[in-house]
Amino acid sequence: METVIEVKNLSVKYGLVVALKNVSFQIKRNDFVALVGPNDGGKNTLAKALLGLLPLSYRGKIIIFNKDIKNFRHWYKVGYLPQKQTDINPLFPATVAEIVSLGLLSTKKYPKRINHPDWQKIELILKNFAIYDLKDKPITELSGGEQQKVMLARALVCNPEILILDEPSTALDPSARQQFFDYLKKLNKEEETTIILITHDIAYIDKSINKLLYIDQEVFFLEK
Amino acid sequence: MASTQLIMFLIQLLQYSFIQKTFISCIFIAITCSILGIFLVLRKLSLIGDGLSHVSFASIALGLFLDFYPFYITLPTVVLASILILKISKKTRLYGDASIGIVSAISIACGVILANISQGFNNNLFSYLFGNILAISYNETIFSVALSFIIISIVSFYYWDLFSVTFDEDYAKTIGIKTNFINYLLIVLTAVTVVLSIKVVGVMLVTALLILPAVTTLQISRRFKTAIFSAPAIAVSSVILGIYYLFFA
Repeated sequence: METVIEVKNLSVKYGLVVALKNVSFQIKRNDFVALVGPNDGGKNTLAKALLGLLPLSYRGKIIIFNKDIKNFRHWYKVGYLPQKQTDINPLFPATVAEIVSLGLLSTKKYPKRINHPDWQKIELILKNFAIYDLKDKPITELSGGEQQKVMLARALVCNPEILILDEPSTALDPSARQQFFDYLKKLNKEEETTIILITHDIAYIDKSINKLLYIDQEVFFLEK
Repeated sequence: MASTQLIMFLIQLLQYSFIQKTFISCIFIAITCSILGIFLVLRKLSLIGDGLSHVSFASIALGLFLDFYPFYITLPTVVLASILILKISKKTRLYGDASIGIVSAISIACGVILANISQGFNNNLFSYLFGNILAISYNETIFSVALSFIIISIVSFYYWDLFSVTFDEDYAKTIGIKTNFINYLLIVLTAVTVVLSIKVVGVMLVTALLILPAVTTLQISRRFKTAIFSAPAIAVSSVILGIYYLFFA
């Protein structure tokens, strides 16, 4: 299988605090990777690194789809589900459809416009997630679980080849959590999406993952 | 009945050329401020108008002190101050309100010092504090209209980028949006708008034109596009009512 992400000797410091130290690993297409480790062990820093969100002062190399991340432009190939749904500004007047449409922006050139075929794509993914009825509802009026589905729909609407999820299950109750992880397994199996999951809920997915990265500044790599 | 009376009154007023200039400038500046206000309020930068208007106060004082048309000093100074506010936030990891506070306090102090060490321009400076809508010049009217068209075109061109960065800046970065550029764009457009608004509402009340229509529309809008269209409607209605009461009060 083709290598989609390669990290070589990555070290990141915030002031005097070492967040990551000489981290190296490879992720191949269709991998299902769990990133685990203690809080403040560097999981979020690593996720940020893979998303190109690190300041330019890090050491080492991140190669994504055979390109150095500093020169990588095809962000539509990478979907991202952030952790912090609770940070949504309660005044923000945006509907579910508007939020999901943001996921298509990486495929657009200026002047960016969401056209009729795009709205059809959005409607289709909302139907897949059984949230089509919420299409015109403001995002702030949804429950934590519904918001999570909207954000996942946003991450997947452009059919990414890699999906990075940052502790996605924190807002979900146990049954919704099981459903959510089942969906990820299906995505990995049927759509061959490479999944990188930062999680504490390893029990829900231990049979599906094929790689485990334990991160505590350094990385301990386990391949099944 | 009341609305017919208002319309008749406005038609009568619009026969005077100085009222025409006032009307056109106020309406276009209200549109511009209210559109930018939506992004500023949602990004917790509501007080940037206040901070930048304080910078305007200092630069107007400097302009009057040097016997120079204040606009020529105020525009570049306020634009530079807006960039400085963003730089301070980034370098020191302070929230926007703290960096606005720093620039605002320094500016107001400089303005007061300049006003005190000079004599004879305090009355003139006072007119900038509260604005003078009846003294808007032809050039200022042209500037206001041109600025509105420029800002509406830019917001329309970068609409989705502005929306995305306002909703979640980190996510916007992950989809390849140049968030730094969008942040600077928003803040520089605000700076230019603040400078042009000072003649209309004055240093003290620029924030009102930026924040109040946005805050009002955010209470009732359910979608982003609705907010972008309804804020200017609220702002323009307020301005028309304001001018109406100016002549009847």
